[in-house]
Amino acid sequence: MSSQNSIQRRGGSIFALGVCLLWSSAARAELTVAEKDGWRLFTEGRINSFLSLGWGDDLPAPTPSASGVSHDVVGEAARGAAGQKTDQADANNKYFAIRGRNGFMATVLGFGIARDFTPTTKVKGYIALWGHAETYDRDRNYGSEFDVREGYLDFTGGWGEFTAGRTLGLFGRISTEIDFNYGHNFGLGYPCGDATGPTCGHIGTGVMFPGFAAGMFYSSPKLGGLRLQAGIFDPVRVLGALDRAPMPRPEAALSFEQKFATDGMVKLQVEGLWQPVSRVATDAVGNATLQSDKVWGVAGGARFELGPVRVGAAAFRGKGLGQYYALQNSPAAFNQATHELRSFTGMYGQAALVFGPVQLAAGAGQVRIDLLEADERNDALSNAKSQTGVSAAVYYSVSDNIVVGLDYFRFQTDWHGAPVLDPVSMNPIGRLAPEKQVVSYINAGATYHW
Amino acid sequence: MNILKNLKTSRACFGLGLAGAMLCPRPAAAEVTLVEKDGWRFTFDGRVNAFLSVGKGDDFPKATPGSAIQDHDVMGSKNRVTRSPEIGWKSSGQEDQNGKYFAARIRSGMVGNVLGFGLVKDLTPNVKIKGYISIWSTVESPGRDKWTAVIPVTREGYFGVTGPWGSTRVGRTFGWFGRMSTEIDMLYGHGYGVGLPCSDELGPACGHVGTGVIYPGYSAGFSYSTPSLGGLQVHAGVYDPIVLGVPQPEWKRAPILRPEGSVTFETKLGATGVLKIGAEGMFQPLARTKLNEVVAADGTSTTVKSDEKTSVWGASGGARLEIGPVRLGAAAFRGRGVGITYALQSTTATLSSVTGELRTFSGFYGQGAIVVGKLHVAVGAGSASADQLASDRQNTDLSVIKSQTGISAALYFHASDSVVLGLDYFRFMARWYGAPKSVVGPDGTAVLADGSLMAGEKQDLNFINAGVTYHW
Repeated sequence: MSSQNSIQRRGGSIFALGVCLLWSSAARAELTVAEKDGWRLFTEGRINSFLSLGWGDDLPAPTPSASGVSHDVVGEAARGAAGQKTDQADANNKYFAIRGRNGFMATVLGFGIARDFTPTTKVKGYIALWGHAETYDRDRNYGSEFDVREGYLDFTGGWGEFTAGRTLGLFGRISTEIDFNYGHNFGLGYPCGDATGPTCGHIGTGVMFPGFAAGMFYSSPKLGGLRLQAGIFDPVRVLGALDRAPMPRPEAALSFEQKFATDGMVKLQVEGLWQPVSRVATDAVGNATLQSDKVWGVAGGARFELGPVRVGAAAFRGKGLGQYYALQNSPAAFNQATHELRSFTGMYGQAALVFGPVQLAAGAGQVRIDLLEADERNDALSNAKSQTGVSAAVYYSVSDNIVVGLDYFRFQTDWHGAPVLDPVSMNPIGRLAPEKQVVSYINAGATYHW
Repeated sequence: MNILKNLKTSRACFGLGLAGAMLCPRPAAAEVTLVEKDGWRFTFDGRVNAFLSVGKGDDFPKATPGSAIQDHDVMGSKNRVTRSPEIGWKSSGQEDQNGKYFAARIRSGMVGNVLGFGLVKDLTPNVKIKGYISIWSTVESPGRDKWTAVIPVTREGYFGVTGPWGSTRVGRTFGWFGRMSTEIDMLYGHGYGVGLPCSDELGPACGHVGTGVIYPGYSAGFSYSTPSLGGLQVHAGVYDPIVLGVPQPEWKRAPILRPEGSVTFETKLGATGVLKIGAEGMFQPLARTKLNEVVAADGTSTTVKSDEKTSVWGASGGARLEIGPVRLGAAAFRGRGVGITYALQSTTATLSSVTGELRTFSGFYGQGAIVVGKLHVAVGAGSASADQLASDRQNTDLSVIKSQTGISAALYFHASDSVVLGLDYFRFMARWYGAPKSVVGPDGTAVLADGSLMAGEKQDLNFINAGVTYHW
């Protein structure tokens, strides 16, 4: 059932994103369960559940063409490639549904064991299991499986830190960190599709999620607030386009973090990744050649805290990245005929006010997808143009471990509209009216974390 | 996974996390005892590791040209069981235009990431009961796809009772058939290494499993081990039966539990030496229902069902010796339907896709190591082979796997009692028999020529793996 589940879930529009606890030392609590003979066993995790009400448009139908040429809207066949397609649409293609869901973070059960490696270096092993509250696609025949998102070992000393194993990537961290800390840590945001969570917060609407991968990376000690992180990660294929990914992917992040006043903090970070990919192409006479390309991305952002104010902004640009997480396997990332990679641009801003146990948050972001020249001549497809999100939230920390949350998210997807071609020259002479989808969510729930 | 503990507490028993506690004697408790209360003892064991793994050589071979009408199938090229060891080594689309493989991944080692939890209580002063669950996962994403979840596997979930009368184990646990060869590989070869990645898609890796080592695998079962009588122990159990066939089970009926057993003799040699000898066996009946068309005298035909039976059987054994810094081990197996990698494995090689006959497999494996202080240097070699069926020599559409051979070398450095650095090399060589030669028959179809075989396909592939393991 496992593999079947995985395959079916792939097509089920899930992104199953969420954020690991990696960076959030402030929010993260390593609860020591036992200490003995130099070993320390700790656990961390959370359980949450939200009532999530959504209403608005389901994935739009293609704009009718006067010429009778039909086209597809990206996201119709490959759920999650753009917009949100569900099985809940009514006769007017409207979506209205309520679910019980996980939040931005799933149900997480993490175990770690730490000890001194040398008098100045500590070693830690950590494995985190992520589960779901909701049943996949409202179908109880599916088992509720864990996903092992993290499983790494880590050496930390005065020389810095070395991490090896399955862990969060480096590219996209600052935007995700902003969303986590100021936006949706204890909320839900955009559900990332209708089938299952964890949800996306602002991921897919300006936030680029790093994703989890096997990797090895070094983090320097903070030198006056400056820190370099660099490493290699298990390569990712662009499935269906560029299946060869023979080399590990370098990713890096350079950050500067400084505290000021009594409760102020500023953090700046830039990130990058690069991955060669290729495919064996066969020409008309059967000769095989290698078609090569590169996925690349640059990202950066800043966050600022002073008194009750929290402000963050981030942006990214890259080729072959996808809207949601770096190296997302989605037909939106490439042209299916030419296998050319598309470029993506994202921007995101988030603000929050924290007054004691109350946090108020508001954010907005957008990811845009460039058209390829080949797209301009493909009248069989309306490509995604942008996904935009606007959010607001209020959280109340009932105790150190319990947070109740209420948040709103407006998710809008715009398509370019299918090109209209001259029937003789086959050159583009216009464009059909672009398709558009707007769906809103209100989410309310509680989180218990430790 | 408890073997993991055994391995780290005894330099002789280095490595692994593979199977149950019975793989190795336990000079000291290896799991970390974290809490003791009211007679209960909570233990926690496991490991986390990651390796940079670079492979270079041939991707899965193409059929030798020359078949009539169309190319034959090279066993393992179609209907492969994905994300699991199969026949040959086929990458997930990484071959270049010349059919060559060159790729680097970051993978789990022969033992994946493991979380093990145990709860022990004394039932009487001489009788203990222990419940144990271990959860295994990998560091790499399946198929180089970040989207795909890493679903953990509960490889072990059992309870056992141990007393002066011996020990029992009930639940999901390691089998007996193939333990000796696996134990040698884990202890001397790849307990902290990678060896052969079982597949390009997903780990954990195989070490020498599939190239001479037969892996017992995990099943639900009930087993009993006698107390050690001068070093001699008998182990016997019954296990949940397995059906065979790819892509769908062909031998669907497996109504009877599978007996597996082992006889081991282990003795110390001097202050630090160890000698262990083991012989293992297993047997499983299988059946299928066939539909036979019966034509009556009047020309009408009816379909009649009939039962057909076969059985999987296997015999294996080996020995390992430790004297001073020297570690030596050798093992072999033979059996029908046992597969080439793990016992009762359904692959394209296990049975004929035409007749359903089970193929017979053999394997042998030798491993040496030198342990000097914190350094462990190892070399090994092994080969597993499949016998051709008579029907295979008539089937012009298929080249059957002949053998898979592995040669390995490794260097491990125990940086502390819980951290091990590893560097290992593995050469994988697969050979196929070659398809029976064919010619175009009178009706325009391919027919058997003179019964001789075409040149066999081959694959040579090398891996270098470097990484680190943290175990507790």
